[in-house]
Order: sequence, then structure tokens, then C-alpha cells
Amino acid sequence: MNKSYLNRFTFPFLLALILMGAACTEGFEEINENPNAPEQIGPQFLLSNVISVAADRNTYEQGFRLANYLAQFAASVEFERIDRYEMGSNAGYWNGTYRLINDLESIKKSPGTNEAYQAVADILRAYLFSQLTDMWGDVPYTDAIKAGEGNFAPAYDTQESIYTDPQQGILATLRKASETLAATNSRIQGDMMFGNDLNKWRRFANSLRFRFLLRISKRLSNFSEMQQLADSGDLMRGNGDNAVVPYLTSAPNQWPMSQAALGLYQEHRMTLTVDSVLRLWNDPRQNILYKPTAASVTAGNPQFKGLQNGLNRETINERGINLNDVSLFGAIFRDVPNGVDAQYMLYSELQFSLAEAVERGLIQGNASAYYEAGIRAHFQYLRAELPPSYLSQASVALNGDRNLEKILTQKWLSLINNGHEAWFQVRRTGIPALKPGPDNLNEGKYPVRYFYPESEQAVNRENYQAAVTRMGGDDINSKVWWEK
Amino acid sequence: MVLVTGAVFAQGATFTGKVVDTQGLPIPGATLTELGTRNISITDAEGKFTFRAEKVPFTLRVSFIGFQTYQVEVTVSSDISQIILSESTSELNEVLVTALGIERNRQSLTSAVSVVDNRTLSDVPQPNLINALAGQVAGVQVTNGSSGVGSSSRIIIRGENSLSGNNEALIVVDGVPIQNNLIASVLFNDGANIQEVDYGNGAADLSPEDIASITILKGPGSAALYGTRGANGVVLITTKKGRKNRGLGVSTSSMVTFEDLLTLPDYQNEYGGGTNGQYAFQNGIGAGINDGGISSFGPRLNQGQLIAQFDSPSVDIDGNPVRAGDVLSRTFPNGTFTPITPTPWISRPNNVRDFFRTGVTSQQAIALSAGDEKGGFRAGYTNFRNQGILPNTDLMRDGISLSLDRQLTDRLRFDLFSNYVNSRSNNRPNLGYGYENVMYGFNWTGRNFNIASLRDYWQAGQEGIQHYDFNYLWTTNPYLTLFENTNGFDKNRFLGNASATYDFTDKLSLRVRLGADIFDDKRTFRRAFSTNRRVFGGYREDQISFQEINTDFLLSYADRLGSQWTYSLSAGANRMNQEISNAYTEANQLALPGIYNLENSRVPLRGASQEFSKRINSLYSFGNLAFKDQLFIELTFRNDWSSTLPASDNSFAYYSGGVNYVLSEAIQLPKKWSYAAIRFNAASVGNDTDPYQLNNTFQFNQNYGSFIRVTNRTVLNNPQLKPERLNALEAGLNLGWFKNRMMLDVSAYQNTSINQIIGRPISTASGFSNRIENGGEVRTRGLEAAISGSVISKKDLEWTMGVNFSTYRSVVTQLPEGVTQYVTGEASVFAGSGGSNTVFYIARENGRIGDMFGTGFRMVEGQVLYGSNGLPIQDATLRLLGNYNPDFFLGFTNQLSFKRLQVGMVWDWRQGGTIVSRTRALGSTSGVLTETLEGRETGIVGQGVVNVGTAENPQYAPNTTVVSASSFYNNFFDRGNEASALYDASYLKLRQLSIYYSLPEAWISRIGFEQVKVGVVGSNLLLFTENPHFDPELNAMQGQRLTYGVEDMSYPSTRSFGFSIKTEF
Repeated sequence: MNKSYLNRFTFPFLLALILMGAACTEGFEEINENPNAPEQIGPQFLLSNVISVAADRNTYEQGFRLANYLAQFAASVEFERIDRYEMGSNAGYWNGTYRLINDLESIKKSPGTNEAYQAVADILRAYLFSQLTDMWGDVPYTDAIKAGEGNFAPAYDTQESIYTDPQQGILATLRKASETLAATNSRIQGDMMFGNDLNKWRRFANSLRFRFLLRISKRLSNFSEMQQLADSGDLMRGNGDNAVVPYLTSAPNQWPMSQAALGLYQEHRMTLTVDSVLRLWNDPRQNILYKPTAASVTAGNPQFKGLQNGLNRETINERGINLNDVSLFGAIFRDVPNGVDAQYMLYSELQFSLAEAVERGLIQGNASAYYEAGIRAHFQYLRAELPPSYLSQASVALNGDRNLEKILTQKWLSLINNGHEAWFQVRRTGIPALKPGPDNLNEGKYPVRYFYPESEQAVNRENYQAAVTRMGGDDINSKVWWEK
Repeated sequence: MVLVTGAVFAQGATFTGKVVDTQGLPIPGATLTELGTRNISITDAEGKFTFRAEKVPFTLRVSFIGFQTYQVEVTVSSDISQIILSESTSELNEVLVTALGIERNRQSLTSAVSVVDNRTLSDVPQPNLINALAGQVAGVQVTNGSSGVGSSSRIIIRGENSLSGNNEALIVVDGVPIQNNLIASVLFNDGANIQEVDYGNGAADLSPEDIASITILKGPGSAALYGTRGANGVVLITTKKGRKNRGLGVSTSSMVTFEDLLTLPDYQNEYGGGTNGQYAFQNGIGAGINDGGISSFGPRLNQGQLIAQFDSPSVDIDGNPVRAGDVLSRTFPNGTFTPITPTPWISRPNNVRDFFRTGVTSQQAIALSAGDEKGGFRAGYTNFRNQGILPNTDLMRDGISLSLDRQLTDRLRFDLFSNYVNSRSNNRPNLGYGYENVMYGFNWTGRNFNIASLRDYWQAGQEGIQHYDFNYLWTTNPYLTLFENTNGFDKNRFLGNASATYDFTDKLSLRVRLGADIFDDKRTFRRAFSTNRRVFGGYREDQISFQEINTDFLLSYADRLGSQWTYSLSAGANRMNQEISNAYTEANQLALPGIYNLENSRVPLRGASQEFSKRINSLYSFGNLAFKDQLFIELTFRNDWSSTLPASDNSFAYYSGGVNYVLSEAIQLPKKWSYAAIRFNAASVGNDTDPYQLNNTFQFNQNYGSFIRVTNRTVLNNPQLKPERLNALEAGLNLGWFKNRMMLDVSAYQNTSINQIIGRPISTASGFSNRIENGGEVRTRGLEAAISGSVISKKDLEWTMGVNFSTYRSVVTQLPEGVTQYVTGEASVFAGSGGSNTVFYIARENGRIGDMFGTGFRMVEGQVLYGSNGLPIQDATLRLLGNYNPDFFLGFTNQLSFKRLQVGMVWDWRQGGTIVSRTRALGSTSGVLTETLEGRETGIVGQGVVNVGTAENPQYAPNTTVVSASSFYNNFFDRGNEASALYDASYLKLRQLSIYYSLPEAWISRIGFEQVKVGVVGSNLLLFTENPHFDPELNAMQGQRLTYGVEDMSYPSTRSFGFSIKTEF
């Protein structure tokens, strides 16, 4: 009895445990190998991620939800306090953008990378860094994305060097990427934007370079690079070159506003600013970008009506404004899941930029031709029919009367939903002249940047403070270098 | 009584007698030992014993777990026919179950150990076992989850050593660890997805009725033997065994309690929904007067006004009566509406209170037990049913436990405990910031709105398709949320252990043991059509499985050295294998309303799955040495090898050594002093980390069409991780007076944590948001004291009282290299436009752990700076908001017995600590809280200064600008501005109260019972705290974690009151 129990129970246990003791760490590395995700990945998967995510963020979170208020394409009814210039830090975009730049670094280091991937990654990198510096001013650039090398608190670079450093600046990077793409035999995959067409990438890079040269043009004295680009024939050639990623019909790639709470959609109203501009131009794009008011439709006489920006709910009530009689955004922004594209840059923007550059005398060329090409392209892009007399109206034609204002106002409208581009333009040129709303929380000033993310105060304090001191305060009214 | 019970033999004697408790009930299974020998006897089912001693006189020790050990000098003429053992709570001589399940005499322990009175466990059985520990033991901190019965409770022992968040004590059942963490579903509260749900902590699956005793090992010293997971202290649970009895013993416990609200936000009842004093309902999206708005700055109530409201009568377009909120039926094709008959605009102070119902919790348990000299058998069944205070929330649990112990031969013993638990719910409420949490919604519900009339939650003719509400822009009808948008689960868990002990000789024995904890948890989430954030509804399934197997052996040798010294030596090994997997599949939109499965999807399904594996191998040994009853020395050594650390650094050792010196055995104490002992303990323990923290991997993003997307993770792993180390020092003092009727136990400790593994937040501009690394050095110093006393001890009246006190303070003594401040975490709840709402936990050098930083107003010489618009100016600079740690805890326990009556009472006081309240911020912004009444008619002049000079040359004068109340509160309590929503988290609570009456035997024996106790019991009966809106104790949950110092739209906490009957027959 005694012995049999010993054998039956204890002995096998004991044996197993002795064996265990003999192999204390055997198989450990295998156990701790993560089965859920790869350690190495082909560059195309990362590229697909960056292209689509960056475009979506720029268009929905940044464009529709934030910048459309700042640029006065949208006015808020109650909750979207950015319309009253409570700017906040926009930290989600800061974090997400640096994360995408990290993906671009991984493309460059991927075993499957090549010259073409590197160049495309550089173009996207230049674009993403421009977003960062244009929203916040000085940002980590040369020191950024070096956590892998042990730098967890990167120093901030000045905006001037971020754009113009002859080796590493955004402009130099774009030039080099364009040259590489012109010469390379390498190919890429995973590009849903240009269908892996490197020529389109090259033209996009050059068009971006033109965008940035114009952005910093107050700080430039030599405009030959702009002239070269204008003459090169190597810029976007039509809407077919638009840097856009279509939204799809099914989740998770739908235009997010098509699924959002009704209240969020109704927070975004047509503004008095847009209303007056479109009215002045007799512009049929109004029917696409906005809806006639519910009250006017009920009354059988559809009308568009804008709301003044920067009103709080009480003021709206005190003024007796009937919200049922204020226009909402158009069907493409709500009623279909794929009514709009996620955008980087449209051909029309480039044409307006060329027109502006000519009009300002920065380059030689035909401003009207560029201007009209821009208008035609934007109508075509929105699938709106251009009325025959549209271009010849006094309010539209470049007839010597306020030409620059006309160019920039058309350009401004074409930038609706395209991230913060319209806001950047207003900050740079003051056109259109936007008035802060009556209930704004910025002492009547038009804000020109976001606060740095609070997390930078917490985790990168010294570098944050150095940048803030240099910029004259972490303030939404501190102008960045290209605006000064 | 004169009785000769000893029959005198040559030099020995035989004694017979009975061991009983203070009520005269027999104690079967009590151990009688002749001190200094191996002469042992055990009482039988009737508590009777026969004890034969070789020589007389001798010292007899009688012990039984849960009772005070009794010691007596026995001479030939001694009367030991009736030995009475009194129940013990913290007495010195009791036998305790300590690390690895070893029973030890309390005196021989060299570090702080506390025992929880098992009466507390069963007198007021808590739905969550952890809650029963609240207020009971010095140094033990329990916090409740915020979604009522079934939510997670945390148990923290001696404060937070770890910065990484997991500070919870290890729960061990019969020597085998069990899973206690909350395994959260991967949910994203981003405004469009499912909000957080708390599915409860693992230990809640255990039934209090299956538990014989709970011992708490507080410091790393006593926990050293549990290895890496024991560093935060250990809760040792010993399950009930079968006991010797006449035939089959049956015990039952039956309790029903009723829960109602203990707290509720203090709402205002003078102004109704609307804006600027105006409101009228038309279609709830703006066609009426402010009926697209959701705040409570509307018309004054009870002024005799009639106003169209969502539940006012109306007709559909065919003229049939409907409610005004049945908007679809009231809308003509041209967009106009049928008329609404206005109804009185009156206050409804209880509209939120009445939304809740009385919760009912029923806990029924029955246990059969049998046994003989060679072992016992016990089988228990527990049935737990709860209907929550929120409509359509519940929790059900059925547990079957089986315990078997058997002395198979003289040398071989076998023990088994197994427990199968099924717990399930049709609906657990959502937490967090957003409409899925109805408390959030009530902030945006017009104070006067009749919430009860939302109960019929579909619009006329729109069943299943469109809900009925007072607003269709933002809100979701709270009844729709709870009745249709359910979060169910069904969890099957098996846990158990089996061991065999073989005594090779009287001195050498071997125990081998196998422990398992295995569960599967299926969670289902339903979302109905017309849910505001999910217009097409949705359905999601989560599958979570967990498996942990522990295999160990322990070889023990015990002997004596000469006549004064005894010693024991043990050595053992353990292997732990843990496998966790979680997976989800989601139909993000449904094709057809009301059908919840994965096939019914309008869109491609999405999902994810993950697996985690971990192994720890350990070897350990320990020794005890004792000199008489005077000096006790303990030494332990353990080494772990963990699969989660780099190969070069995956081995780490633990050491501890301690001494307890019983002064009262060595020297003569002053008269009233009966006991004095001092102890010291030093320990150094290691710790590993979670799996897969070494090498970086990418992660999948959802596809774009057919393009597969892959991205970097936000956390940077670290292949150079080292094991964590915690060095602990402890000194303690035990004093007894008046024959130990009064006892004091004091411990002072210091824990120094080095190389902590944390996911330290780093600048996202570096490419990652967190880095896994070995952090700096954190030192915690604390003090605990417990005093207990028998205030009255008479035959019919006994009153024992205990007070326990604890305090601790953790500071960062060394920062990671190159870092000037140490951000240990953050809690973020709001990410819309405008200000972010994030609390950062930042430790500066010599700064305190738990310091919270956030934003506030711009200050000038201590005054808030106002703008020319009369509104305070926000400032994005981080400032110290407060510290979430309390200054101290104090628990106060009372046990009173008067004849057949027993009364138990526990008070719990927490002093200090700051809490950031989202309820205060949001409810003030929306105008529902009572503090928003001020200035409604007159406007408000904010207290502070304005700059009347220039920007360069500022001059400050008091602010005089009047602004409207709603403007003021909207800005002052702006959610981006944490500084205006702080409360002191102190509270005093009456945790438990129980009154039991034992029916006289004369009555019950006639119907065949041995014992019947009836009682009334209550929990959380009283709460005193500074803030009027919520219970500061409750945990908030954000993402997959519980957070500290932040209140996030918490549900009301509950008070429970009920009846209990316990029988034995």
C-alpha cells in the first residue's frame, strides 16, 4: 500500500520536477518571442499606412474638425470651441504625425527598401514636418525620431532651418527626392494614391516644393528656384495628378463624418464669410459644398444662409438666430461614405499659387492663365459646371482691381477641407480678411499657432523651454518665422 | 467541578475531555500537543479527545485555526475535561497559514502578517471577496470599482511600490496563485466606439463561504517565497476542509441584501433644460427653441409656464395621439410638424434618482461536509444573483467547490481543492466619458426632463430602428443604452490544486503539488440602430482565455538541537506557465436591426487576436531556527528564471532574513505587561515584467481596401532590461497587557525600489510615446499600527475592539539618467477640439509619487487673471494639482457578543489625497449641478484681476465685468482646465454592520438543527466626505487600466442592507 502510493503519485511528480530544475531556462527565448506581430516588414505595408493615414487625418481631424473653423468655412453652434479660438494643443496630430514619420524611418531601414521607397518616404517626411512646423513653429527635426538611438527628448530646430537647411531642410529634401525619382529604376508598391507611379510622385514633390517656397516667400530674396519649377514642366499637370486618397464605401475607410453623431455634423454650419464670397461670385459650388437651410426648403424656397463665426449659444439665442435657417455642409460631407477625398494637395492649389507668384512679381508668367486654370480645375474636381460667364464677372476676372485678393480668395475656397492650408494662407497673406467672432476667447486676435502639447512640458521640459523662449512664448499669438 | 479525569499509570496518564468554543459548541479537529514531544492527538467529531502522556506533569497545547491557542500545565489532578478555545483575530499564539501554505505559530514570524477575522468574511458576505478586507487590516487599502456589484476592486498593500500601475497584491489559494487582475477588453473610447466596461477582478469569483481564513503577508519579507509576484504583498486564502462530524454535516448560508444609492450628484432643481432662459421642443435637432442644445440654462421652473417638451402630447400626421418626441411620425413630407400641446414646466428633483432601482443581491450557499480521523470531504455550492441598481444590469454566479483531504497511509497524505465557477451577465454598464455611460448623459439632460417617460424607448412605428429621445443630435436614450446596447459576458473558470505529502521519516517530508487556474470568458457587445455614435448599431464578440499552471515540490526537514533549539529546513522548486489570449471580431454596422451576430454585418468584419505566454522557473529554500519560545530566526532564499527578461539577465535571486525576539520570555516585565516582542526583517526581492517587452515589433492597422497597413507601435521595447529589485526593511513591535487582553502591533518599514520596469512616457517627437526601461529609485516609508483589545470579557458579554492605522509616503530618490523629471503616467479623458484634458503623474527628484499635474488659470499674485470679456484666462502651463495618495488610513472594528447576540461593525477613514473630478467639470459646464445656480439672474463677476495697463506694462485691477452664468461656468469649468475641478478625497465610511442572533438550541434541536443564526447586515451604510457629488473611493477606468486620482463620470456608489440566515445541521 505504502509503496504503491509512493510510486503512483510521488515518483512521477518528482521526476518531472527534477527534469524541470535541470533546464531552468530552456525554451525561454521561444516563449518570449511575440507571435502577434512581425519584427521585420516590407516597406509597402508601411507606405500604405502612412499615405492613407496622413491624408485622412489631414482632411477629417485637421481639416473638417479644426481648420475649417479657423479658415471660416465652418461656424460652430455650441461645442466646437476652436471656433472661439480656444485652440488647445492639437496634441493628437503632433503625436500621430511623429508616429507616421517613425514609419517612414522604418521604410528606409526595411530590408526590402530601395531608392524609390527612400525618395517617396522623404517626400512624405518633408510634407509631415511642414505640417508640424507650420502649426507649432519650432519643432524637433534633426533630433527627432531617434528614440531607437537613445534620444527620448529631442531638441527643437528653428523653423528657418527646418525649411532651408541646405542639406537636411524640407526644400533640399524634396529637391533631392525629385532628382532621385527622375533617375531611378527602382519601383514601389502599396501606393493607393498614385498607383505606384513615380512620375506622379516626382511632380507632387516639385509642387510641394513650390507650395513651401511660396509659404516662406516673405523670408526669401531669391526666387529663381520658383521660376525653375514653374518652367520645368515637372509640376502637377491636371486633376489626374491630384495628391488625394479616396475614401471608400465601407468601414474603416469611410469619410468619418458620414458615420458621426448628428450633433457633430450639425455643429458645422456654413459661415457668413463663405456665404458672402459665394454670393458675390454667383458660385454654383455652393450647392455642392453646403445645403440650403432646412427652413427654406420646408418653405419651398431653398436658400443658403451662413452663421457668423465665434458665437456662443447664448448670443445665437439672444440674436434670435433660427438654427433651422442656417446652412449645413453639403451632402458630400455627410450623406455618402465616399463623397470626398482625403487630400494632400490639389492641382488647383498649385495653379493659384503660380498665379499668386506671378501677381506678386516673384516669377514671370501669365497670372490669369494660371488663375483660370485653377478655377476650372476646382470646378471640375467638385463636378460643378462652370457657368459660361463665371470667369468674366467683375468679381472674378483679374481686371487689375484687387487681383491678388481675387486669386487668394479663390485659392482659399479651393482649400476647404484640405487640412490647415487655408489657415496657413490667411496667416501669411491676410487674405481673405477674416474677423474673429464676437465671443472669441483670444481678446479679439486671430490665432496663429497651437500650443505645444502639454506632454512636451512634462517629458521634454528643457528643450520645450528653450524653444518657447526663442519663439517669445508658448502662445497662440506668437508668429512663426515665415509669418513675421 | 471535582473530577479525576486522569488515570494514573506507572509514570504516565490518560486524559479524556472535550474541546469547545466559547458557546460550548464542539471543535472537531483541534490539535492537542504535548509540548516538546511529538505526542499529538486530534479531537473527534464531537470535539472529544483522549490524550495519553508518558510523564506528568507536562505542558499541553491545544490549537485550532481561527482560535486562540490554549496552553496549560497538566498535572495528575488537572481538570481538562472541558477545554474552551476562544475565537481569535490577532492573537499571538494562533497557528497561521503562511507562505507556501505552511502552518506556523504566529510568534515565530519575523515580519508583519495579519489575519482577517473569518467572521467578517461570512457575517457580511461581500459580492467581491476583496471588499471584505476593507478597513480590517493596517496597511491594506481596498478600493471599489465604480459600476456597482461585479466591478473590480483593487487591493493595495503598503502603498504603491511600482510605478507601472500593477501594485495589486498576489492572491493565493491553498498555496497556489490565482489570477486576480482585471483583463480588460481592448476598447477605444474615441467617441465612436464602445466605451470601457469593467468585468471584475478575478478574485471576485471565489465564494466567501468556501473560505476558512485569510492571512495577509504585508511586506516583501514574508512574501519573498512567492517570487516575483509577491513583492506587493500576498493575500493567502485557505479553503474550508471537510471536518469530522457525526455522519454528514450540512451548513447553509442565506443572505439577501438590497442596494440603494449612497451618493448622487447634487443637482439643481430651479432651472430647466435650454439656453439663455428659453426652450421649446419641436424636433430635438434645432427646429424648436434651443431644442438642439442639451444644457440646463433654460427657463426657470415652477413659474406656471406651459412649454412644449419631448413627452408633451402631440399627434402623428394622421391625427393619432403620439408623444412630441415621436418626431418621425409627426413630420409632414414638406418638413413641417404637427402641433404639440405644451405641458407644465416643473421641477423633477428625483428624475435621476428614480432612474435607478433597488438592487437585489441574493447569496445562497450550502455545504456538505464529512470526515473521520483520516481526513475529510467538503462540497459546496454557491448561488449568487444580483440585479443591479441600473436597470437591466445584473450578475450571476454559480460555484461548485470540492475539497478532499485524506491520510492515505501513515506517511502519505493527499489534499485536493477544486472550484468551478460560472459567472455571467446580460449586461454590465459602460464606464468612462461619453453617452454610453448614463451618468455622463444625465449631465446633458434638462434638469426638469421626465426621464421616466423615456422608458418606452422606440419612436412610434419605429421599433428597433429609431429611438425616442429629447434630443436627436447628441444623446442616446439611457434606457436604450441599458436595454439594447448591452455588454454581456459568460465566464467559466476552473481553479484548483492537488497535493500529496509523503513523510519519509518523522522529520523529513516531501510535498508535490499541482495548481491550475483556467478560464474562458466570452463577452458580447450589442449596439442598436439609432444609437447616436453607431447609427447602424453593431455587434462584437470578445474571447478571452487564461491558463496558469503551477507545479511545485517542497522537501522539508525538521529536528531539534539539544533541548532548547528547534529548526526546520525546506527546499523546493516551482514552475509557472501562463498563457493568455484575447481576440475580438466586430461587425461595425449591422445590416438588419435587432439581429446580433457576425453574419448580420453591413461592412467587412474587423478584428484582432493576440496571445501571450510566460514561464517562470524557481528554486527556493528556507530555514527556521527557534530557541525555546524566545528567539525565532528565519532565512529564505529563492531564485527565479523568467522568460520575459533577456537571456543574459533573466535570473534573479531573493533573500530575506528576520528575527523575532520575545522579550517577555527572557526578562521580567512590569506587572500589567504580559507580552513583548521585537522583530526585524530585511529582504531583497526581484521582479520580472510582461511578455514581449524586449524586441520591437510592428503592429497591424486596419486595412485600407485591399491594402494591408502596418505601423510602428507607440511603445519602444528594450532588449537590455534588467530585473527589478525591491529592498525592504521592516521593524516591528508586539506588546500585550492584561494577560494579552490588549495587544499592540506596530510596524515601520522602508521599501526601496530599484530598476523598476516602466513604460516611461517620452517625447513623441522621438518616434515613440513610451519606452520600456528600468527606471530610477523610489523609496517608500510607512508606519502601521494595530491595537486590539477585549474591552469587556464576561461570561455573557464580550466586546473586542480594534483600531488600525497606516500611513506611507513614496518619493523618488533617484531619477533615470539624463532625466530631470519623471513622468510616470497620464490619465486623459477628453480629446476634442480646444483644451486637452490630461492629468500627468510627474515625480521630480525628491518629489512624491502620486503628484498630479494639469493646467489651470493664469495667476497674478495669487489671483486669477481675467480677460476684458470677464472670463478667466486659461494657461496651458502644467502645475501641481495635488497628490492622489492619502495621508493616512484608519480602520475601526468592533465585535460585540451579548448572550446569543453578536454585533460586528467596521468603520473606514481615509484622510487626504486629491481627486480630479470630471463630474464637477462637466456638470457645471452643462448647468445641472447645484453650484451653477449662483448668478443665473444677475450674472457673475468672477473673482480676480484684469490687466488695465498694456501688455508690456501691465497694471492689475479687480475684475468688474459681469458675464452670464452659463458663459462663466462654461469657461471656469472648461474641461481642459483641471485646476477648477479638484476635491479632497478624504472620507469616513461605515463599511459593515451586522447583528446576528443564535437561536436557542432548545428550539432548533427539535427540528434537527445544530445551529441557526439569523441576522441583519449592512454595507457602506454611511459616508462622510467633502464633495457632494460622488464617492471619492471609486476607481475610474480608462482604456484598459484603472486610474488614480481621477473621477470620470462615476456611477453612484451603493449602500446595502439585508438579512442573513446561517444554519448547521
